[in-house]
Amino acid sequence: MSQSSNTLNVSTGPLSEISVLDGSMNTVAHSVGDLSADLLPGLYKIRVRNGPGVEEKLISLDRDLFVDIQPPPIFSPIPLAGTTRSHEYHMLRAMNASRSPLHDFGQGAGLFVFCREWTTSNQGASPNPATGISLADENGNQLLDLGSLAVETPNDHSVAMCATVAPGSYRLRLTQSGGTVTERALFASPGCQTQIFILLSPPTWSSGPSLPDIAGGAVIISPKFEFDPQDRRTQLGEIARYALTQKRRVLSDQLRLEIVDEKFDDPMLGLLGAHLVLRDEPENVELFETVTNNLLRLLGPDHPDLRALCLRRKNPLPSVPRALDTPPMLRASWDITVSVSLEDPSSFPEAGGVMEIADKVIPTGSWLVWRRDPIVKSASGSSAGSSNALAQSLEEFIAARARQEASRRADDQGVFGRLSSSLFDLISNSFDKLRGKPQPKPPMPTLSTEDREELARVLGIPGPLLNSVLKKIFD
Amino acid sequence: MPLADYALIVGINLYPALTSLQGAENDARDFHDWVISPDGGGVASSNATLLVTSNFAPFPSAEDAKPAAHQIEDFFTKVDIAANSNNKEGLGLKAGKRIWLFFSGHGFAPTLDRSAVLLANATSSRVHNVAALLWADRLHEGGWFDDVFLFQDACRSHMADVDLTPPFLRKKVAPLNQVRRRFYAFSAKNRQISKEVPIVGERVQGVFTTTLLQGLKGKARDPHTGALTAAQLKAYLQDNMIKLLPAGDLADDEIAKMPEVVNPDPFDILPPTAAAVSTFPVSVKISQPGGPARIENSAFVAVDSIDPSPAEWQRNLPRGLYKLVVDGLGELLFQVTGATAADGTGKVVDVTI
Repeated sequence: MSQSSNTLNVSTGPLSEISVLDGSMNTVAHSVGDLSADLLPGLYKIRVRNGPGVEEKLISLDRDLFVDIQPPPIFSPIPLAGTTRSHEYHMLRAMNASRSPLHDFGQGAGLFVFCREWTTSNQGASPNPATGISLADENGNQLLDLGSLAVETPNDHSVAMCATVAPGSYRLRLTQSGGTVTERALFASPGCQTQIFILLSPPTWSSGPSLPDIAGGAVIISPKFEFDPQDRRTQLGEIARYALTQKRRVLSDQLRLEIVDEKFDDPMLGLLGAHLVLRDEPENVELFETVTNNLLRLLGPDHPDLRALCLRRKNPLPSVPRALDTPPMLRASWDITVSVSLEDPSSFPEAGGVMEIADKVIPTGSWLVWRRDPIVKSASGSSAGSSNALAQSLEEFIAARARQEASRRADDQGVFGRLSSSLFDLISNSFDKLRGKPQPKPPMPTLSTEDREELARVLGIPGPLLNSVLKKIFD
Repeated sequence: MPLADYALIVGINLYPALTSLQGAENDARDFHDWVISPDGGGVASSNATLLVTSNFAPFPSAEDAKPAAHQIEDFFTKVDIAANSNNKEGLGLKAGKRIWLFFSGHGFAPTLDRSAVLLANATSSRVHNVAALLWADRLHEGGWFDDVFLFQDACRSHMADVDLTPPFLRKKVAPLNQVRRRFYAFSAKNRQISKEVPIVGERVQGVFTTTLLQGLKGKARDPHTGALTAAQLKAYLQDNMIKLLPAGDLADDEIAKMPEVVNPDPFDILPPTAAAVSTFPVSVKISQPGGPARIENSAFVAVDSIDPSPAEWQRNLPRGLYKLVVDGLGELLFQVTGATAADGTGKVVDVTI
């Protein structure tokens, strides 16, 4: 005789993942935001995951049950309410500073940068959490050294910079004491303030001082030109950003409803939502196009992340140019441009700011970050150092492939064949040496289109540039 | 003749150009011992490659430190040659039945698929690494093995000025009829730090690897079937890693307390054995003893009862979810996770009603 089931309803945070495990720890139900499942009577464990945080609850399902579980707080460099790295005084300072632009680099948009240290003791050791951080224009000319803005603040220190700017692309730069320079883009859309929040982070593999975590700095785009630590949608954006990089599936009905609403006004949540739609529901053309339509309204046609997303629209938006003028902020947007460049090499600009950084991209999570060579350039104007690192990596890959294929050929020849072949090579090379002929290079493996596509995707460099670097190696 | 299993185990303590670790080599040796044991992974020792720092040290310079890329490359070339040989014998282009990949050392993983372990010759300007997950995926997607296991005990630092390169083995597509499974477990979720602590005396080991080996050695077996399933191993790791951490680390959200596990395929990692399923001590404290009390399992079936109930009731139970019912006091749900002390004995589960 079969047992009748009971209904379990679970509600939690809108982007929190809910798993229900039975007594054998098998996942018997899974959903995002809320869950309703008919299950056999028994004991179960409900697990709610919010980013990396997990909350668990045991239940006895001997009747229909409604369970509400508070999602665990998330980590964020943004001093948001309900996150694990917030102090109220940071929230207040960021809020107030974001409303008061003290620097004028143009009109029409805004930039806000907030660097801080966070400790459990509230007694930070770093007097200047913006050491090494500077703001530059799209051409790399420094506009402001944020480290110079540090003032004495109590408890865990923070540095705030609020500026009016002309709409367009800017660079946030970290220059370390050893000379290493990394950069990322900040795009200021007309009528919006682009905000970035950076935490100090200790080095992981080496000893040394904590540094501003430029690669982990989180971005908000605010049409209201102010930071709101209570903004629910900013929290959602942080969870969506985590999901995008950690392959979590959080595209809930609630998120879909938010981002397609014509009154939707959170551009960063929209950008992240669009990427999630593209990744998790690529066949949902209507949803993706509605979201990108909304983003066009909010950000305008020049935003590089929107342009990247629009490369994947089935029905192009006539007002959004296909080419990128400037690097996007999100790594996922960059990955789209790389992917499209493999299908259509002409889609990637041959010169300009995007091409300049294309061979210097670092494998980061959410945001596009690149190495910038020291200011002294070579005579040709190119940045040879980073290109050398990339070329070296490619050479090592090709050499490893060549060795593996040589081993495969030797194995195919069998023992006798290998001995004969080695003896022939030894005699041949000896004669060549006697005649002063250079030793022949071992045969280079061919790289298929699939190989090149994979290299481009993994290394994050566009197809045409990869082909150019490979040509130099093979020639 | 059945296809062979393979294992690559890498444990790097000494990074001459970076900070060193203490437990990575211990972790690798312990995993190696398990994977070649007939009661464990059952991999022939000739097919299990162990690469640890002390096999190579000392090094004339940081650039010469090992294990480095060549040693890893030799292993995967060997795998490819094995597949080639099997193909010539009509067994298909498949290297073996199972591969176990274990890496312990410094790591980074800004995203799940951009995760790597640093090699011994990594420096801050040339961060030599092995993209472990890309390798595991390559072997899985290409059907080089039926089952691919990847265990990575390394911090998931968020950024490195590094180039991640894909595996050098050419991609191939597995035959449609090949049943392929995979199980990947990483010691930390995104941005988190993996801890290594003294487990037995002064011997430092990774919290993740210690828990993993406890599970693999039998503590994670399904109490109902006796098999070590993917779901059970995942649950064992998720429930018990935290129990090896020092108390001071529990409030720090940068310290990993749960692994990241990728287990899309339900399967038995190890089949049932004749050995009895492990039980663990449970200490029930009853504030109002004297009446009947019982313990029910997850199917609401009473597995133990007592009348009259004492103030302290000691039982031994297998892993699972339970309900304690005490007349006059009500019900209390608890879980026996199978947490194990350093000496191999079960940690006591305290239940108070």
